[in-house]
Amino acid sequence: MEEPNLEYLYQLSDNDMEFVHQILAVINEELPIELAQYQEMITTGQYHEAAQLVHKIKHKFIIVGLKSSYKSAHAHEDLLRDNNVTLHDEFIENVTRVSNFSLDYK
Amino acid sequence: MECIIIDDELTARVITARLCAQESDLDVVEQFNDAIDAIKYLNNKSVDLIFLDIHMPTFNGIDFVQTLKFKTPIICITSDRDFAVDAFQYDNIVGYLLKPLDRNKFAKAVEKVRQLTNSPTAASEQISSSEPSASASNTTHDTHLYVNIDRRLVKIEFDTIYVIEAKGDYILIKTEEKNYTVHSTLKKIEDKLPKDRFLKVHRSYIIHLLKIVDIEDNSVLIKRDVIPVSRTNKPILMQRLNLL
Repeated sequence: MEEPNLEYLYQLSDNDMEFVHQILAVINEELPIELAQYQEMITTGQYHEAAQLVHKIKHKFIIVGLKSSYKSAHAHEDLLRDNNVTLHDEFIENVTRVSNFSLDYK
Repeated sequence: MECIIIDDELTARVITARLCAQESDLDVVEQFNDAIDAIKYLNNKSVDLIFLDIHMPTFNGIDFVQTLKFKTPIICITSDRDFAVDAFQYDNIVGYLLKPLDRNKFAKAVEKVRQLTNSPTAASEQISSSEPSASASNTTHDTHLYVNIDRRLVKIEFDTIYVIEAKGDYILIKTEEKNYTVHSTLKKIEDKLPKDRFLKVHRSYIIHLLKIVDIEDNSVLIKRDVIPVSRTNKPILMQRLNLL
């Protein structure tokens, strides 16, 4: 299984640790809020709105190098637009991985 | 070059701003998480370049481009490959970058804007309008149009439409197959429709003239819908009909 990493952020910023920590701080700030909103939309059956949140969240996956998770989230987004929640559990697992990873740098 | 960044996602704005900082002549003067706030800002100020996310919940990037009064160059930044072909229908969209942003591709897109800005002829030719280019319009206007629904551009054949109804900030396009709710105005879609087949019969309704079943007093029957006809539009409707 692919592991979260900071390769993309280092490459983007010429190994600027301050910038990398800035991005991780933003992820730590945004992700819990977006996840809570997403969960509420799923609970209330508002799948199109949930898909919009997946669209926002999935970008964070690829920022920390989770390409497969990004693809899965992309598929989840499309399925949600057809009211299909098949990939919900996998998505939550991946969000948790990103969240745990970024929190390690807090 | 003064630029603004429009993206509903903070991580994306921070990354875009970082890449801008790596270009010596780019100055990010403002960032927006909502395209409507950006439009309000641009009503009072001008910038040289706009970095624009396409997929935003309340008012998406294509809506923004269509609303923009000025010819500011735009570099689209999005996760959606699907929008690329349609994005380039707009002459002021000069670049299209996929997330996650790549440094080299970002630098190339900005360089392209520099070249356009430094070449008045090229700029006037290539950044002439925020409307879709004439050639693109001519190829599509005869038979169909594309509407933006849930970040997808959906093709609708003109002759499948039988009525279009205004619904606040949206329009409801009823076709033979299904109905589409689109964030737009009756005026905007009226301008796109062939005038020989469609007529605005009421402030809230445009109808396809060939789909009328019957007319009674101040209403027309189309399929099973009874559509009101305003007093001022009734004479125009009557002129357009092939009356015995």
